[in-house]
Amino acid sequence: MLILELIGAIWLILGILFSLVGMIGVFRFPDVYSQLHASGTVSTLGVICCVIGAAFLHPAWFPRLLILGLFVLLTSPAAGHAIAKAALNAGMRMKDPVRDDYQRDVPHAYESIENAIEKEVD
Amino acid sequence: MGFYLFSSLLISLTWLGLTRRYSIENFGLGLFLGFVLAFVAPQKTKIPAIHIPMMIVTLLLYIIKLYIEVFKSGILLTRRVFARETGLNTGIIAISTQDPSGSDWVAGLSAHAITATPGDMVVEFSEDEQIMYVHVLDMQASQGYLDPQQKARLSDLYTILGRAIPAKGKK
Repeated sequence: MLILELIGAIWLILGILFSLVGMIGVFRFPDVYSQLHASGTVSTLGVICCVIGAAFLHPAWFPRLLILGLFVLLTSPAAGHAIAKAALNAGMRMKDPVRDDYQRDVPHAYESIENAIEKEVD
Repeated sequence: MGFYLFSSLLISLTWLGLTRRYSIENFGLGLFLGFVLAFVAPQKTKIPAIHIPMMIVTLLLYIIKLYIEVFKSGILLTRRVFARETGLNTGIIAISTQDPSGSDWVAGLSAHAITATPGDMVVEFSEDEQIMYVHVLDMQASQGYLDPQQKARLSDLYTILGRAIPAKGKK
């Protein structure tokens, strides 16, 4: 029992650390898209680690936690994608991109929604 | 029939997990609820019942792969966050979905899997949903593997979706 609790506590601490890393990444990375990698992916790993830890601490909850982990896995990338798409549509630019195929393919890329509406009205 | 069976099996297993009452009656109730939900679902595909075991096995392996990718991704990003220089070569690459049927399911699941992989995130689709615009943290690394990875992913997705992907616009 003590070993299970110990393993569970280690997973919980790992989860908290990964969540903390996600937060630090938001400050370290230069633009909104890179920040989303940190806040989205690393924080997802943080939550998954916490879920694994909870499964060790409360083995009876395992089926529910399994489903919870699955929902987190399914929904978290979708949330990151939605925020990134909103940033792109609002005209947020990357900082010093090496290559940008979106700007190449879309004529009015990075034109904010307000500007686009103003142009249409004019 | 296969679509109803596959959906209701997944829903009934979820039902068992959520209610934590592991009995034949409760499984039957979950199966019934699954059938009802599958019946009212807007998109119906014809899946031969014989493909269902393979679909479930591939789905489970696919989920395990996704978990591994999330772990790899988290560790890679943690290393970048704590590196003295983050060493980012960011950019947006256009990647084809490589799916001739133009299925929304394939496009959505491909985007989801790419976002779960280390250092890549789908930010936008082209209007015909055939091109995904992927924001990458390391351009040199991502350029090489994104296309072959998508090809491999596509075969998994075809199996999971029962090799009967509805053509775009069809209901």
